[in-house]
Amino acid sequence: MIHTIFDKAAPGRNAISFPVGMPDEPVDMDIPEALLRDRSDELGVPDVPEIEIVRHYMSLSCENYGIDNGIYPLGSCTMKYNPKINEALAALPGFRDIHPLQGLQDEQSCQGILQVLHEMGLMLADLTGMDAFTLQPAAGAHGEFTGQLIIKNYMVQNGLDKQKNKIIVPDTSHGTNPASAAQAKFEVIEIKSDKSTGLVDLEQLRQALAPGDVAGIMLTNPNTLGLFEEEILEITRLVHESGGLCYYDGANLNGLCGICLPGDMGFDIVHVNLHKTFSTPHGGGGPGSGPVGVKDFLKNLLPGPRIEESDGMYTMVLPEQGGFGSIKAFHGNVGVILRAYCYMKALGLEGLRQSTKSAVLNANYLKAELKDTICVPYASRCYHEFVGSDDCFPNGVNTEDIAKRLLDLGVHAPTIYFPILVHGAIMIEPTETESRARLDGLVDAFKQVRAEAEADPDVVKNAPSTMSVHRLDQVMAARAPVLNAKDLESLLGSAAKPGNPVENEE
Amino acid sequence: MDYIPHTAEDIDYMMQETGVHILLDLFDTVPPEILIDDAAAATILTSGTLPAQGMTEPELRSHLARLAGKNKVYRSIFRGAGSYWHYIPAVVDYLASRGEFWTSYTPYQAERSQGYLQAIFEYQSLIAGLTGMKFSNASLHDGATALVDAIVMAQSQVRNRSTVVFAGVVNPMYMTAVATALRPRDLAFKQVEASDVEAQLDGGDVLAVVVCSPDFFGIVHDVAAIVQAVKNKDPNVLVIQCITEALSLALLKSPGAAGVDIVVGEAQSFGIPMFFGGPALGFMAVADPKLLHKLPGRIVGATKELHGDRIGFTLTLTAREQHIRREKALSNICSNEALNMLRAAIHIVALGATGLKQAATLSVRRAHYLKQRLATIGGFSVASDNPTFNEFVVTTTPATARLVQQACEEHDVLGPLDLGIFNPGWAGMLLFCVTEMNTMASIDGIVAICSEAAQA
Repeated sequence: MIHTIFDKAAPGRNAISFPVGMPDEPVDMDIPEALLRDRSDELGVPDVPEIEIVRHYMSLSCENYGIDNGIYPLGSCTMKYNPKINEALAALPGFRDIHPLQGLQDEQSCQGILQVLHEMGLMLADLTGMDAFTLQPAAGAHGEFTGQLIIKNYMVQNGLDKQKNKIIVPDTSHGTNPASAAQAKFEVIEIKSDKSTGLVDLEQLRQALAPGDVAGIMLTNPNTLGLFEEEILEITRLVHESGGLCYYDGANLNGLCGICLPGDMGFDIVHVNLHKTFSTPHGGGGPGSGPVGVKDFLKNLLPGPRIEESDGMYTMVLPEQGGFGSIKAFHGNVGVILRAYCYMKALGLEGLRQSTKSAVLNANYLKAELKDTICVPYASRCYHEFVGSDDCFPNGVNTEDIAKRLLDLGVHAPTIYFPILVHGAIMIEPTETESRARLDGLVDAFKQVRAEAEADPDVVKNAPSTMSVHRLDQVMAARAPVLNAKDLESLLGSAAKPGNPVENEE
Repeated sequence: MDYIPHTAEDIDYMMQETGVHILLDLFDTVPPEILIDDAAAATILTSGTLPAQGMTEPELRSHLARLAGKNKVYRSIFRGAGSYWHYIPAVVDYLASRGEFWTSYTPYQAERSQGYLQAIFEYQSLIAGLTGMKFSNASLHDGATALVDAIVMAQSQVRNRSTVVFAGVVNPMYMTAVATALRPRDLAFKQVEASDVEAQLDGGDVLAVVVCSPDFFGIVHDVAAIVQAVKNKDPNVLVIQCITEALSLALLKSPGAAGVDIVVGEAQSFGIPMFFGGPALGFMAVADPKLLHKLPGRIVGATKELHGDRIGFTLTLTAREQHIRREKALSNICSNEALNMLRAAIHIVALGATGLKQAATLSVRRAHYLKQRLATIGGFSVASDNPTFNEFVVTTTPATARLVQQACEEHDVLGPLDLGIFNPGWAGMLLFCVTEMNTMASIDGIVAICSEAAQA
C-alpha cells in the first residue's frame, strides 16, 4: 500500500515554528470572523515531524531518475548535464533574496542582476542573429505564444490582421506549436512533410501560401526528425514574399548553436529554451525559461521590461511605460536565466561550438551503432537527434514495450510515438555530455531488448519488472480520475481493467 | 571550458564510425553560405558580452560573486506586491535539490518516475485542501499566467460572451499580462468596486467575475457574498478568485467554502525565494468536475497496475493537452514550474497546518499593528476602512513618500512601494507588506522613519 505524506501526520509535531513577538498592546486582527476559516473549512494540511518529512521525500527521490543518475536520451528535450557550479552561484543571497521591485526605489540596489539580464539578451542575440530579446517568457511554449502575439500585433499594426490570420505548421512540429498559434487566435494550417526526405515539401508550402492569408510559419530546424531543412533559405524567402513572418522554434537549437544562426536562415522571431541548449536543470518539468528574440523591425513589439545600459549604469523600464505589454508578472524566470548565464560565460563561443559538434557527433554515432537494431527510416545526416521505429521488431513487440524494458536495463527511455510521421517513433537525443561508454551502454541495452524480443518477447511485453510498480493502467487512470489522497481508498478492491492505451508523448 | 567527457581517441573513433574526417563535416547539409566555419566564428561576437573562450570555474565564481555583490540584500523588507519575503525551512532546499528530482524531466515514463508523480499527487491534494476545492493541477508559470489561463477556460465554458469584470483592485502587473495575452480575443475588461459587481451583470455579456482577495491593496473581500450575488443574478457567470499571497489561505475562508468556481494565484510564498521575481508558482484549482476536463497543465492521478494490484501514479487526462490535441488544446503549456511545486509541497508540510496558521497570524497581527501605528502619524492616513490581510495602503504626500524611501534606504530597509509607479493617480500611496520575517523592532523602526519623514 502507498504511504502518502498524509499518513505521517502527527498533530502538533510540525517541523517549523516561528518566534512570537507580539506588540505589547495586543492588536486584534480587523478581519471579521465571517471572512475567516472555520471548523467546517479545515486546511487539510498535516503536521509532520521533520525527520519523517526528510525520509518521505528521500524515499520518493529514490523512485525517480534524473541526468545525475544516468543517460536520459529523451528526444527534443536536450537532457544534458546540469553543471553544479551554476546551482551554487545562482543561490548566492545577492541573487536569490532580492525583491523584483527593489530597483524602483533605487536602481543602485540591483545593478548586478540588471547587468546579468542585459548581457543575457545580447549574448542570445549574438547566438541567434537577432537584434533584441525579451527574457520574460517562462518556458518554451510560453515563448512560442509570445512570438505568435508578436506576429499578430505586427499584422494589426499594418492593418493586415483580418486578412492574414493563418499560421503554417509542418506535421513534424512539436505539439506546442499549433497550440501556441491557436492561443493567439490564428487558424493553423498543417503541411505534410515530404515522405522520402522528411523535410518540408516546397510544393505544399507554395500551395498553402497561395491564397495570401498566411501571417507566418513556425519551424524548428533541425526538425523533429533531427534533419536540417536543406531548403531553409527558399522556405523563408517564399514566406516573406507572401508577406508572412518566419518563427524559429529554438527547441532544437542544441543541434546548431554557434554553427549556424537562425537569423541567417531568414527567421524574424526566435525563442530559445535556456533549460535545453543552455543546460539549466529541467526540474521534473520546469521551471524553464523561453526568451524571445526579434529582428530590429519588430523590436517595439517585444513584451516585458527593457533594460538599458549607459556608461556602465543599468536601468530598467517597466512595460507599462513604453513596451508592448507583458506576458507574466515581473521580469522573467531570473533564477533560471542566471544558471544559463553562468553556463554561457563558462563555455564561451568556443565551448558552445564544441558542445554542438559533440552533440551531433554523439547522435550520428548512436544512429550508426543502432541502425541494425532498430529501423532508422531517414538514413541521411542527423543533427542532435534521430528517430527510429519499432517496425522491424519481431513478435509484436512495440515501441512502448521497448521503452519500458529499457527502464529495467537502467537507462531512461527515449521520447516515444513522436513525431507522429514515423510509425512507432523512438526519438533519441543523447546530448554532448554523454561519454562513448554511456552511448555504448545504451546501444547494448537496445541490443538486449532486441534479442529478448526475438527469444522471449513476454519479458519485453511485461516490462518493466524491476521498478516499484509494473506497467500501469492508463485507461483506468483517465476513466475514473483519482486526483486526491483522500480518494485513494476508492482504488482498493477495484479490479484493474484490461487495455493498453498508447499515447503520443513528446 | 565545456562539459564534454570524450577523450581525443573517443572522438577519432566515433568520427570514423560516422564516416567524417573533421567534426564540421557533420554539418554538411547546412547551406555553405550560412555555415560558420571555425575561422569565421569570432565574427558573430558583435556585442562583446559572450567571451570567445570561456571562463574557468574559479573565474566564474569570482565574476558572479562580484555581480551578486552589486545587488542589495536588505536587512528588512516591507514590500510585497506579488513577491513576498517569507521564511524558507532548511529542509526545502535540502530535499528539492536532490538530483533525482532536479535533473529529471516531466514524468512521461510513469514506472520510473513514481517518486515525482507521488509528490505531484500530494501537492494536488494539499492545494485542494488549502483552497477548499476538489481538483488542482500540477502548476502553472505564475499567478498572472494562471489568471490568463482561468479566463481562457471560462471563455470556453461560457460561450458567446465577451466581458470580464474585475472586483477588488487587481495587481497592475497581472492586469497588463491579462490584457497582453488576451488581446487577440477581443474581450472587454471592467474594473469595479466589489460592491458594484451585481450591476455589471445587467447586459448578459459577462462571462466571468474575477474577485481579487486579498486584493492589490491588501483588502479582504467578502467573496462568499459576491459569489451569492453573482449566482443569484446570473448562474452562468463563473466566479474566479485570484490570490497573490497564498499564505492568506491559511486563515481566510477558503475559496471552496465561498463557492467560487475557479481559484488561481501565486504560491511563491510557499518555499520559493524571491529571485528578483521568478521563477514563481502559479496554482489553479476547480470545484466542478465539468471544469476538470478544461484544466490546463499537467494532472497526476492514481491508478493500478495493468496486471496487478499495486497502486501507482501517472500523468492523466492527457487528452486535454497540446501534445495530443495540438491546435484544439485549451492551453499550450508543456514545461510548467514542477520544481517550485515540489518546493511548495515540502514547505507546506514543513510548516504543517499549525505553522501555516502561525505564520499567517503573525503576519496579519504585525501588519495591523503597523497600520494602527502609522495611522497616528500626522500627514499619514490609512486609505481604507476595509479589513486587510498582510498588506495595506497608507496615503501621504508624494514628497513625504520620497523622504520615506530615502530614509529606508539609509537604514538598509526596503520600504513600502510607492504606487505612483503604476498609476499617476496613486502617487503618494504607499503599499506596505508585513510578514513573519519582520521583527517587532524593525516595525517600530519603520514607524520612526515615517514619523521623521512626516515632520521634515
